[in-house]
Amino acid sequence: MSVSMYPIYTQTLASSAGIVSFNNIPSGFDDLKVIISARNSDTVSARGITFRFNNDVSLSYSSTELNMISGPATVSSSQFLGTNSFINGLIHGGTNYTANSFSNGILDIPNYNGANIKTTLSSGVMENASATDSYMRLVSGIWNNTSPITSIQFLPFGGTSSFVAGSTFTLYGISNKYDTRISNAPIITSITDIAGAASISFAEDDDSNTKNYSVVTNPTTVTNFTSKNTVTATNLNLNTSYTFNVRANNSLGAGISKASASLTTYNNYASIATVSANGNSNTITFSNIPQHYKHLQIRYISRLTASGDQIRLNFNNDTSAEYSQHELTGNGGSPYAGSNVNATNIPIIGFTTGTTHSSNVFGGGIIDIFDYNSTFKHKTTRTTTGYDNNGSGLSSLFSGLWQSFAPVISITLTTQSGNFAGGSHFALYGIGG
Amino acid sequence: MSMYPIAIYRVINNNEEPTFSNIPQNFDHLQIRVLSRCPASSVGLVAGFNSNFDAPYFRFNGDATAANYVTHNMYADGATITTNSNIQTVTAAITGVMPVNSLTANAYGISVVDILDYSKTNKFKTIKTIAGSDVNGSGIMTIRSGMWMSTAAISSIFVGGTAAGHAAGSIITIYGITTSNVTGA
Repeated sequence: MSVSMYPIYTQTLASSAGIVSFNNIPSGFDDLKVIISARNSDTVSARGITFRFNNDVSLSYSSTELNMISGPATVSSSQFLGTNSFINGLIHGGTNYTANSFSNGILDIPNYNGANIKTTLSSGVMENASATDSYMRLVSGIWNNTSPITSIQFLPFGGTSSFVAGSTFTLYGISNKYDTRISNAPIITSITDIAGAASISFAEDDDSNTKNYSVVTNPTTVTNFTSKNTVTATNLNLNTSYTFNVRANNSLGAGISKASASLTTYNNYASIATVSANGNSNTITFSNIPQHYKHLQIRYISRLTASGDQIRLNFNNDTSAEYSQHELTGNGGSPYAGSNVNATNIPIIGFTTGTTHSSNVFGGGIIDIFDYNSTFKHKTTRTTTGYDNNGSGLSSLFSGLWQSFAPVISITLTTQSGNFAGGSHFALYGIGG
Repeated sequence: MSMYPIAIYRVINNNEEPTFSNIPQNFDHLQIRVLSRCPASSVGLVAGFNSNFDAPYFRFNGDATAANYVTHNMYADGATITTNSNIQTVTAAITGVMPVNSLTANAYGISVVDILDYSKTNKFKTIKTIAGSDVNGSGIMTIRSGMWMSTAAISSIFVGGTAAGHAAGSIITIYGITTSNVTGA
């Protein structure tokens, strides 16, 4: 039985990135392999390349390392048993290393789609034209989770530096199924403008013979892949006419659909999700946020079931002290300015009303989150918010910061006290650009 | 399919040292798989092991300038872990391991050598080798790193042995590995 190694997706960084992700990993293979050539932005010596799966930041990872550091030569072995939210499985270096030197590393993940705990084997080297600071690393690891792997995130160890331009990451699928023919062409059933992107639905005609699906956009030749019967074509220009082809891929080639009808992209503002409260919960969560927009906006109207007037926010379930916030508030009398730094959430993302306010009076706000999926920017928020209690009230402008390069994939809003009362609504929108 | 055989060399006579020329430039990475044995009965220590184990070495584009090669070595023999290096002192990149001809007959070493972005002109070429040789009573397991300090695309690779080339029966295969032209997900 032949084994085929199929390149799924390559990322060559044109600029620095604090995180590199592979999303929507097709399920049609047996094993995965990632080949990495990377260099770091900072001035320290060798730095690990960490990885995690499915955006799982819990302490579900264990690993055993064998390391060699040259100059004086040191061989060490370490073990981490459920104490990390990642596997520190590869290595690269920064400006202390010989110019133009990039690391050489490979990550293997067998049976990534099975109902087993996921095992990894990785090896990497970083070379230096001296007897010092060359580094070799061999790591076996596990992700203590039986879910299929649908995404992989790579970050420099420490989370404060970046992969530099020229770094390359390629994801391969390995199959022990021998392809005997090209797949039949899929059939496009609908296309929808979703603000800076297009959603293309299609019917598979030959799924058992197909490794993954991709869509090709004309003009521009943007190519995206998927394993489902819907694919999103991203980075589309506004007011531009596009047609799309869906390809059913395997190692022998692709069955290609007929070109779709043309779609002209007018829409740059799209509803993602709306959550209405019923008084039974103190949190509102938006999860699995699509990554193809440019910015996000939350528009809300809210009241609490207890006293208090504040709504808090965190991103991606991150409760580390990486948030800060500043406030300018007027109440019709003296203006107020305040701040919170090194907080475990954005303490006031917006105002609301509660039981100390007049009945049926709600607070409201508009929260903007800019470049939410950037991998080289920390995330900035801006909120205009307030309430009027017919005799008192607040009007405020807030800024907020989440010090992370990670794309925002989930947002959790939490009450200061009590629950969100019935009649409260939170709507998330995506803004194209 | 993303891993394509480019060329194979089967050693017929002892001491042969092949050159792979005109390496196609349309791949992204190279993998060289070496199954080899040293035709000498003992060797010096240039390979980085004891006198019973030699190593293949790679010279790129005919470059025999020692200042352009760096290698580091970490190996184990079942009892001891040893590290060493060659910093711009050897005119090639030393990779892998192969047993000498006085050890168990018909036993060969295996070396899997990965060279990423071999055709990129914005990078020095970093080499990673995982290799081993077991002769039924002793053996070596090694991981090696190396660098050819040139931004030139690799167009040829000379595969030698530090002591005496390769013994008859050795096989050296070079593969090209492609990446994907898919750009979004």
